Amino acid sequence: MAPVKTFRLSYLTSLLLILLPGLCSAVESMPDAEYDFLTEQDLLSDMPVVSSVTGLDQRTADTPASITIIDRQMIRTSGAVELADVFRLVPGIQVYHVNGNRFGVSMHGQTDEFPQRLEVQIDGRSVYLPMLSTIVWTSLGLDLDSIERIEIVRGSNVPAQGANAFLGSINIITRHPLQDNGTRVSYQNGSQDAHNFSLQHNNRLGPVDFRLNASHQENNGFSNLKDGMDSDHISLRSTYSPDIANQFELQLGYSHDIIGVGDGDRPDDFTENKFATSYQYLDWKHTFSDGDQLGLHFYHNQTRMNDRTSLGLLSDLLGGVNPAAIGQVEQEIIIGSTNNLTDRYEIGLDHSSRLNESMRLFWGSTLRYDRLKSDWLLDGRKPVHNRQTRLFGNLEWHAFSSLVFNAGLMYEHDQAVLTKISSRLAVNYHLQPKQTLRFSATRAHRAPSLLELERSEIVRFVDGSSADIQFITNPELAEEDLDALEIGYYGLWPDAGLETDIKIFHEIINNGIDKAKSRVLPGDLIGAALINDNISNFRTHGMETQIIYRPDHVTRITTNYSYAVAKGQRVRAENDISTLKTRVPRHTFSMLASRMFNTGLEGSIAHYRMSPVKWLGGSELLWQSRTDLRVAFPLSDARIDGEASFVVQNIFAEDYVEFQVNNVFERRIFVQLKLNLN
Amino acid sequence: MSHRLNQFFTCLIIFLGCWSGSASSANVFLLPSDDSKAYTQFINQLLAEKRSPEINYQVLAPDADLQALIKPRQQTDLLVSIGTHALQKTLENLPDIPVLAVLITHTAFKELIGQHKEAETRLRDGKIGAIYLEQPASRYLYLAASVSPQAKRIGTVASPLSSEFLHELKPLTEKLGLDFSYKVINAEDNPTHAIDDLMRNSDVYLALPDSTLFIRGTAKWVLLTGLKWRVPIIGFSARYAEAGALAAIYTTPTDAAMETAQCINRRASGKQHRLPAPGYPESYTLTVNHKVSRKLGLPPLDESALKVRINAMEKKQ
Repeated sequence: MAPVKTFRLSYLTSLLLILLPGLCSAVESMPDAEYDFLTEQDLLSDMPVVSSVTGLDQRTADTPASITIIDRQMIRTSGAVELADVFRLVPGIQVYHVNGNRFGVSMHGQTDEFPQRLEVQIDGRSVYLPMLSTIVWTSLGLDLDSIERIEIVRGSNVPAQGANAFLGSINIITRHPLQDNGTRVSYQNGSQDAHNFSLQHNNRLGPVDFRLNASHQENNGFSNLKDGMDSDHISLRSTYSPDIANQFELQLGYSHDIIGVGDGDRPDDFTENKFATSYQYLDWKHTFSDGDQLGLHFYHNQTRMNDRTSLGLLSDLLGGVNPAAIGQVEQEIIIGSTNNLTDRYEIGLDHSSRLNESMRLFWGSTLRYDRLKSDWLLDGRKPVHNRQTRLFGNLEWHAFSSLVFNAGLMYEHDQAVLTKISSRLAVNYHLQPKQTLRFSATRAHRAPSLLELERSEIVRFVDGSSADIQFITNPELAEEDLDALEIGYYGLWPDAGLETDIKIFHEIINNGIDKAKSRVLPGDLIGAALINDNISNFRTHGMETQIIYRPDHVTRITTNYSYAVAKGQRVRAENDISTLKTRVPRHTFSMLASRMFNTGLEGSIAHYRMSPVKWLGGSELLWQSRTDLRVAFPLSDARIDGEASFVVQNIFAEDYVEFQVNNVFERRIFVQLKLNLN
Repeated sequence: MSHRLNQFFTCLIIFLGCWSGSASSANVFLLPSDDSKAYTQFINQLLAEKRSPEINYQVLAPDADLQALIKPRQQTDLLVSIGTHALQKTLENLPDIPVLAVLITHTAFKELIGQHKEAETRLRDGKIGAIYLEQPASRYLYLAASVSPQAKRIGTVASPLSSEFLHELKPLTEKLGLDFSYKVINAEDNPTHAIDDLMRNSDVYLALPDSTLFIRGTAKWVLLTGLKWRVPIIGFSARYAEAGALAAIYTTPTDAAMETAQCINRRASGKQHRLPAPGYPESYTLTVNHKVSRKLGLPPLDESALKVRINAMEKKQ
C-alpha cells in the first residue's frame, strides 16, 4: 500500500506545484484588456445573479438540481427559535427533536439521531462533525438574525460539494459585515424557561469591516426530561478589500455548550454532553479583468466533547451482587470520555471562468485532514486520522438559448476507501423564458466518516477486560452508493406573483451504512453490540413541490409538499430484517403565510403536517400537526428603534411526539425584544 | 437641331429623374467584430427589419478583406461596423464607402477616430456616423428623478475609464437642483468604504457603465450597501436590474438593430442620404425590478409610464 499512498501524495504535490506558478502569474499580471477604454464588451458582459450550487453563479432556472432559498423574511416570520426549525419549510426535509436541544435534519428519511447524509456549510466552510458523523446544530454559534439566506440543494450535490452532500446540502450564507451598521441587542424569553440573549456589532477598523456576534442561550428542554441547554457563542466575521480585484475574509468563532442528551425511552439515564467548538476561516477571492474568479480558502474546525458519564458502582449494576462473583473488584463503571477531540483542516482552491460565450467552468481542488482523538470512541487507541484529496469541476454549456447542460464530476481519494468518482449530468430546457424542464442523473458515493470507520466503544473493567461492547465497526466497511434520477419543472409568473418548483425523483441507495446488531461477540457480556456496517439497500421515489405566491408587496405565502415512498431492506441481524418503508414519512406538508400591515405590524402563520414515521432508533410516531403564530410590531420613536415579537408554537396545543415517546411538544410561547443601538 | 435638342433634354430629364429618384438600390455591408452572440443577434434583427427590396445586405466575416470585397457602386452603399474591433478594422483599411459604426461606446468611437487622421476628415464630411450603445448620462439621471421624485442627493462611483460620465452629469444635476456626490476609484483603491459612505449620503445611486473588472469588483458592494441604506439603484444593464438594482436603462443589440435599420431604410428610400452624426441611441429598454421596489417600500412602477416621463424630460432639455 505504501508505494500507492506515496504516489498519490506526490501526485497531489506535483499538481499543486504545476498549478501554483501559473495561478500566481495569473494573479501577479492581470490579463491586459485589449483596449484601455470602455467598449461594448463591458456593457454587454455578464454579472453574477444568484450564488449557486455548482460553484457558478447561475439563475435558478439553469441549476442542475432543485433549490429552495430561505431568506431573512422567511426565517423571521417562521417564528423559529432554533436554526434547525427553519428547515421544516423545505420540501423533502424533515426536522425532529432527538432531545430537547439535539436536532435531526433529514432528507428523505432513513435517519436516526445522527443524520449523516446531508452536508451543511456556513459561508463555504463545512460544519459536519467527523466525531459524531452529523451536525450539532446548537454548537454552530449562529444567530438567526445574522443569516442572509440559506440555499438548500434538494438532491445529491456530491459532484460539487463532496461525499457528505449525498442526498443534498444546506448552504448558509451569513450577512456581510457591510450589510449592517451599529449595534443590535435582542432578548427572548419563553417556554421551557428559555432565555436567549444576543448581541451584534458592526463596525469598521481602518480598512477592515467586521461583524461581532455574541450570544447566550439556555432552556430546560422537554418537560420531565433532563435535556436542557446552556450555551455561549462568540464569533467574528471580518472582510478587507484592498482593491477592486481582491477580497480577504477572516472568520473566527468559539462556542461552549452543555446539552442534556439521552434515550427518551429511559428518562433516568440522561447525561450532560459538554462541547467546546472553535473555528478559524481564511478566504481570498480574486477577480480578473475578464470576470473570471479565483478563490483560495483555509479553515480549521475543532470540537472537544466531554461526555464522560458514570453508570454507577458495579455492584449496583449487578443488582446488589458482589463484583467478586464475576472476578472483579468494586469499581465505578464509566462510559464516555473527557478528552474527545476532533480537528478538521482544509485548504482549497477554486476557479470559475468563462471558456467562451456558451460555456463556463468551475473547478477546484481541496486537501482535507480529519483527526479524531478519544479514549471512549476509539477504545483507548491512538488518535486516528484521514487525509482526503478532492478534485472537482462543473461545466455549464448553453448549447442553445433554450438548452443548458451541466456536467459535474468529483474525484475523491482518501486513505480509507481510496478513490471514488461521483458525477452528475443535467439538462435544462427552457420551454419559455420563465418555464423550465430539468432532467438530471447522478451517481454518487459517500465514504464512511472517520467515526464510522474507527468507532469502538467498549465498556471495560479496571483490569482492562471487556464488560460490554457497545459499538464497533466492520473492518471492511465500504462506501455508500447512490444512483438518482430527477425530472423537475420550474416556473415563474411575475405578473401573477407566482413561482413554483416541482420535481419527481427516484433514488437507489446501496450499501447504506447503519448499525447491525450482534449478541455473539466475545467480551460482550451485556446486551447486543452495535456494528457499523453496510446493511441497508433501498429505493426512494417521490415528488416534491414548492409554490411561492406574492399577490402584492406585503403578502407572501409559501407552500411545500413532499411525497416519498421507500422500499428496501435493513439487515441488522440474521433474524432482524426490516423493510424501510416506515422510516420516511409518506407526506410532509408545510405552509407559511405572512403579511405586513400598514401600521408596520407583521403577522405570520405557519402550519406543519407529517404522516406517520418511525425514525431509526425512535418511537412510532402518528400523524403530526402543528400551527405556529407570530406577531411583530416595530418600536420606533426618537429614542428607540427596534421590534417586539410574540411567538406561539403549536398554538392549538395539539401535543405531539418528536422522535421518541417522552419528547412531547406542547404549546410554547416566546416573547422577544430587539433594539438597534445606533 | 430642335429635334436633337428635344431628345437631349428628354434624356437629361430622364437621367436626372433616375439619379434623384425616390428608390435606388443600396449595398449594405455588415462587418461584425466576431461571431459572438451580441453581434449575431444584431445582424439577425437588422435583416429581419429589412423593408425595401432595394437593400442588399451582405454579411462579411470578421476577418474579411475589406479592400478586396467592398467596391461601392451606389451613393447609398454603406458599411456598418458592428462593435469596436470592426470599427478599428474598418478604419485601418478604410474603403471608399460611408461607414456607420454601431454597438460601440462613445469613448471607443472617439478614441479610434482620434487614432486615424483620415477618419477625422471623413467624419467632418459626414461620411462616418455612429449610434452609440450606452445611454447619455442625462437619461440615467432622468430615470433616477422619475423613480424617486423626492430624491435630492445623487451618488455614484466610477473608474477613470468612465469619468466622462461624471463630467456630463455634474452640470445636469446642477440644472436640476440636485446634490451630486461621486468618487473616482482606481484599481488599487479600496472600493467598499467609498461606496458605503457615498450610499449613506445618497437618495439615489447611479450604477454607470464601466469596465468589466470595475463592475464585478464594485457591484456586490453597491447592491449590499444599497439595501442597507435603502437607496434605490439605477443600473445600466438588464443583469444589474436582475441582481438588485431598482431599475435599469440600456440598449440591447435588438434595440440597436432596429434603430440602425430605420436609418438604412431612410437612406435607401432617398429620404435621407446623410449619415446620422455620432450620437446616443434613441431606442432603449427600461426594466424595473419589482421585488426590489417592494423591498424599498416604493409604489409599483410602470415601465411604459417611466419611458414616457423620460422622453418628455429629454424633449424639455
